[in-house]
Amino acid sequence: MSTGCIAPESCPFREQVCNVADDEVATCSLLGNIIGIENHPAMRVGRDACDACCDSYPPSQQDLNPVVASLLFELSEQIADAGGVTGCDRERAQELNRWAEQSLPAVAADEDDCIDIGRRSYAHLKGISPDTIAKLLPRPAESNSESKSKAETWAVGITTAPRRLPTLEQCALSIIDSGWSDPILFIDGDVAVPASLSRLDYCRRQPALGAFPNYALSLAELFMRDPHADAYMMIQDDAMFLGVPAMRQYLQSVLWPLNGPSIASLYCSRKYNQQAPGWHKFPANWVWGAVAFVFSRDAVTEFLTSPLVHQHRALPDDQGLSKVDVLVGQFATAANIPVLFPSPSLVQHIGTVSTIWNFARAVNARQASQFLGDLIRAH
Amino acid sequence: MMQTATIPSMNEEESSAPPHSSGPNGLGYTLWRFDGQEWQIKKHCAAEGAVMGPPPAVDGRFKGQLRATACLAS
Repeated sequence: MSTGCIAPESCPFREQVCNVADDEVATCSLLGNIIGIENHPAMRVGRDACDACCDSYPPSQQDLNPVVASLLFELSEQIADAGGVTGCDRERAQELNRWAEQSLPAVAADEDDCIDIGRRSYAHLKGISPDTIAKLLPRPAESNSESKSKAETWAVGITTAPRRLPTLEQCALSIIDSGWSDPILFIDGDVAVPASLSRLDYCRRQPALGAFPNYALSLAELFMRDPHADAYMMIQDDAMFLGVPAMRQYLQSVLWPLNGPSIASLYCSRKYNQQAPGWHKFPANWVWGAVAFVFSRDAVTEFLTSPLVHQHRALPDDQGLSKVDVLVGQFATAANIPVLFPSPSLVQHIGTVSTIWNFARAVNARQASQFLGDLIRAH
Repeated sequence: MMQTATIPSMNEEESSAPPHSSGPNGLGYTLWRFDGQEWQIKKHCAAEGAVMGPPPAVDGRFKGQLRATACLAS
């Protein structure tokens, strides 16, 4: 059970609320459920902690948000220091203490790990024009050349896998609102498709294959369904697009800026921020993020026949089930295919509970610290 | 010509691994505790060749809150 609450008053774990001096204090029964005890002084938490918890994503007994992780760390430390209590011995307390610490993502100094960026709304941007985007993200000069191919026809796929806190609906609706009305859902395992997306075509892999095999097969299927598209866009289910029609119009005025096969990442990690806003060619192996790649047609055909793809999948110990971003980067370098990306980012990474890594939240380098949606809002 | 990006050096093989515990570049992390007014170091776990980064710039929300920040290459 998770709270799912957006205000402390609706939190099912908030018990024995009372005022102490000027502070409102409550017992957090989620902590008690995790530890296996009913009462402990460190389970009494202030209103400020409850408010912070409600601003974060809903915690559960299986995964903690940073607020509950902080509280659990303190509680388990006290229990361990006391040599254990009835219901939780010292070893169990130490184990929970390590888990709490692991649940705190290592963020950048200017980052607030309590904020759930997936809750931000950009609905007020609906009426912006492609030129509004271009003011903050200038088009490359090459895109004006008549000799380059244009990305007018698109094949679009969204890969998705089970998450405790699903982001598929938010992701897909943002893509549809951005001008791509019919993305295909490539579902890896038991994912419930929201009613709002039930009209979309989908392909379900059962039993689940893993992130990389699903990605490679999905890109192949996009091509087999539509072998003549100008652009093949592969999106992971924790991507958030701007959600405005101007996004597709803008991208069609940008892609493709270079002759020959190209790959464009619409997502720019904090690690890849550039001083000069605009489109850039990545100078090394792309690593941070397969959140939203667009492949030119030639790039797709080279990818699907690349020995690197097959070698990656065959890596021992299931290493070939993940690291889509690393493989795409290695492939692009080996094939001498440029990887282009925008800085600031056109897409945000909103996953709070990863499908691949138990503790990997979209924070620090796994997030766009300069997302165009935020910049337009502030502009 | 398309402008070429400038990026920091990093371990390309491992960098897409989760940033937790080992930091985004495998450099370790520092655990900070908010005492109600400022962040205090609770624990420092830097990998060899890494140093502590700056303390959190965003205030904590409650006393006892913890935040982990990534260590930096020295």
